[in-house]
Amino acid sequence: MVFGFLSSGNNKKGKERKKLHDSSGNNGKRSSNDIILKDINIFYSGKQAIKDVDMTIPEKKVTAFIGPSGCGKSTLLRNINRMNDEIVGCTYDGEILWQGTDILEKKVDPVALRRRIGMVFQKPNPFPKTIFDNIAYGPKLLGIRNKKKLKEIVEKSLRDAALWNEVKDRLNDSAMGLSGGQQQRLCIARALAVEPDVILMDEPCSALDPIATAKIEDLINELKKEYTVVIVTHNMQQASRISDFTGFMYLGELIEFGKTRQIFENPKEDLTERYITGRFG
Amino acid sequence: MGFFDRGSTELKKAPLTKKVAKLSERVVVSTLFSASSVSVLISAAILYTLIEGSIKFFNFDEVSIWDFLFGSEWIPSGTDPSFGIYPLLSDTILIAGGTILLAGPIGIAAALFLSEYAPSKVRNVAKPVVELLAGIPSIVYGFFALFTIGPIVREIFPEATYFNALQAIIVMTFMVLPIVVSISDDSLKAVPRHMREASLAMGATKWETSIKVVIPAAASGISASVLLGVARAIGETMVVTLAAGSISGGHWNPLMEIQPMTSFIAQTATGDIPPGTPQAEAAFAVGITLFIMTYFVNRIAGRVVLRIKKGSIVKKEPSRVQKFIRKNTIDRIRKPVEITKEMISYRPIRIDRSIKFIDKTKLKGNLIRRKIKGYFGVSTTVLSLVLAFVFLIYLLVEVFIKGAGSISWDFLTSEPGFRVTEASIMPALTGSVFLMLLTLLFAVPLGVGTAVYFNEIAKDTWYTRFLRNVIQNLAGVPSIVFGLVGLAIFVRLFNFGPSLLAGSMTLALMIMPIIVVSSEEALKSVPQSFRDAARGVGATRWQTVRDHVLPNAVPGIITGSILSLSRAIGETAPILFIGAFFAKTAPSGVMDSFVALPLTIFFWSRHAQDEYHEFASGAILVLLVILLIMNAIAIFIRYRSQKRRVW
Repeated sequence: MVFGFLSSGNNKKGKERKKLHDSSGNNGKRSSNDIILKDINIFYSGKQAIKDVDMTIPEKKVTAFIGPSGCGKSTLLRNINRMNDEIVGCTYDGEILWQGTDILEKKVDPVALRRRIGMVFQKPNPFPKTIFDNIAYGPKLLGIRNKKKLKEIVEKSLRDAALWNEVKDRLNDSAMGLSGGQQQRLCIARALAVEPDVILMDEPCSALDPIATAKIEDLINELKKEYTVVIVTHNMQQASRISDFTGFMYLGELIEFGKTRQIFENPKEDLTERYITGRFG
Repeated sequence: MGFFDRGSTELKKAPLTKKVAKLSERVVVSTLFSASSVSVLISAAILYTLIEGSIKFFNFDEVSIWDFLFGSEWIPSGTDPSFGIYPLLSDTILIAGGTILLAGPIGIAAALFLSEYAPSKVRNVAKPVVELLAGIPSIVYGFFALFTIGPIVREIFPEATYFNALQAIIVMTFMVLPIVVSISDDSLKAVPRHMREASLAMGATKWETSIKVVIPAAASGISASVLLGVARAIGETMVVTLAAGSISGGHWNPLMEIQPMTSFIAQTATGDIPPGTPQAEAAFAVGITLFIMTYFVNRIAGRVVLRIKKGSIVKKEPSRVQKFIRKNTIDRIRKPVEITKEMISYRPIRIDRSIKFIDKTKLKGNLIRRKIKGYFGVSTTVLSLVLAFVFLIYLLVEVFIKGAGSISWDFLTSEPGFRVTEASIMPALTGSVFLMLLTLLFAVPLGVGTAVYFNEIAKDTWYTRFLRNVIQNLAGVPSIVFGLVGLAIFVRLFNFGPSLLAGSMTLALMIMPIIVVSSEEALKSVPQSFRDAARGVGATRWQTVRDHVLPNAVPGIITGSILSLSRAIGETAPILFIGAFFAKTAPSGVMDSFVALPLTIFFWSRHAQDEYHEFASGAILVLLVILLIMNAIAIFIRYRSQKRRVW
């Protein structure tokens, strides 16, 4: 068992945080495909944004991070594929174990890592290129030049992201002409095109209307059968609808982590309960 | 008496219907309005000069418009003159094209390094250093091209002539570089960060992200920077006049002597061409051609730059014309996509991950190749920047080594004679100082007045938009064209003769638009809340400006004015027609003839005796020191005011 004793001595209120992770993992079975965060601290130019976070994100499940704005959910998420490396002044320590490697180690190449741990952002951010070129961008970088093969990849990625029917007749139009929801699914398709194992999503629906949101949520439900999905959301209903596991964060700390059902129906922490019931602050 | 004594006051009884704005307010506002309208007069003067001169030119029997436009020979003097613009035009294109062919890639690469790779410390040092290249007067570049780059070029290409296009192109590359770098850098920086993140998050390297995502997204701004560089190269006069020769070519050979349009115009100012001949008036016809060329290039570039400033480089709203064309062509052919029920009632299909396209075994080798490519790419960008630095240092060191020997007390202060030993820059130095003071007197009130009118008083009407356009266009007019205007308007029409007055007015016309722009920046930096507060207690528009806006904007305005004056003092081309080439004493009045430092440098550089070339370096050294001092003062003022700023 690696889970039970991961939580460090960060027990300000003397609450029993140690048992936080008992409920996680595939019913206690550990897999090397789980993402295990150990003692993660993240700093922005010396200011601490994340404090001693420990958790295990299980394989092929949806794990949601919830919490009020500025609590560090996105910062933590961005560390999982080392996007924080790109931010000047951002430093971190701790370990993230995945497939037997500490992916925070220097020798791990973030470029290679990011192909396997893809990311979808808050604001749909297609490149100002055609729909086809958006999807083909990643495979092309990986050395695929064969036109036929690229076409197949584009079609499969778009089908998997449930966008194919809507755009199959205008693959050579600019991606900027799509609606917000379509753009976001395009971004998901783009991430799928390089065949990752994990998909990180940073508030993927916050810029979308309810119908587009519903589509993305359906898609996430489908994706989790094949991919590990980690999603940051400020929308608690969304977390409760789509996630299997939920972590509640507050002021850079992971307050509680567990099965979504448990977090929402029977939170162990007072803070969690107050946040979930809306009696916060 | 209560705590708040609202006892009788005069103010309380003032009727609301009484106009608060007094006569003085109206006078001030209309003065500002007139100041801003002067730019229209300037534009009119430019057009008048060029058109009137051209008409005179085409009225000569020897000249026809047809031959001018389509003739292939340019032989302005002799018994059988021929005025076909082609050789001048092709030489201009050769020079500008060659320059941008070098400056474009180098500048874009350097900008890419600055915006994507340079740590902020490097960036904060490197960008001002690159911009320093823009502050060096073109006459200095010309001198450097002729006496330092020239020998190197002839060493490498023994067949190159003494004057040749290549040496001018090399030097102008670095002259144009700051324009390309700073505008490209701005537009690269304007590419939203999420675009880069999208690419990086998929496992693209930083270099791939730069090349395949960031540069394409900034393409319009980068092309604008290149266009502005082209416009600058087309209008450049002194480098080509000094280093490229005076025989019009049309041979497209960069190793031979050529004569672009600007160089021909300058030649009429310096050669002994009898006035009233077609040869003398040809300058105006060439001038109008030059004006039209730069106008259009600047126009196109200006539109793009404006779009970048508004922050819409990525999403382009098609213009009305584009929409119309689209509607009538593409959309008619292609059926609009029908939204079917199947598309809306949506269920993702079962995702099958067993189908793999990517060959995982090749990924590692592939990644190494991509990384190596990236290292090479980034090295190129660093190298481009280093190249600019090396050039700048080389230029400064050369000037110092060559010029330091000739500096002496006599060189600076004595009255010059005609012998080599008696060379002195005293008349030029004093002439430059007087010229600068007079230019300040004319340009600053006009420029600041216009800026205040635009920023504080004017409403957005067609007239103010028109004025803005006019000023923007003025800023792009080549300096030699201002020389022609000075000649036609101040020297001839106003009958000032070749005097200090005419010279300083000409320079004032040229730097006015720059002062407008920098003053407007200074005014814009004053928070709107200051104005609201003043207006809220009943101050009039002008009172608000006078008491609250101007005092806070003064440091910025002074800084901008000093910088534009330093530009004026280094200019040669505008006063080429007006200044005297030799003066024994300092000018004693505004109607006196004068000589200025850049003119002296020009004159000495063309002197046959080698000693004078060293004197020219000495004069350059003095000029650069003056510019350095002016810039230092400007930077000091800016620094002090920023430190004191409390808002």
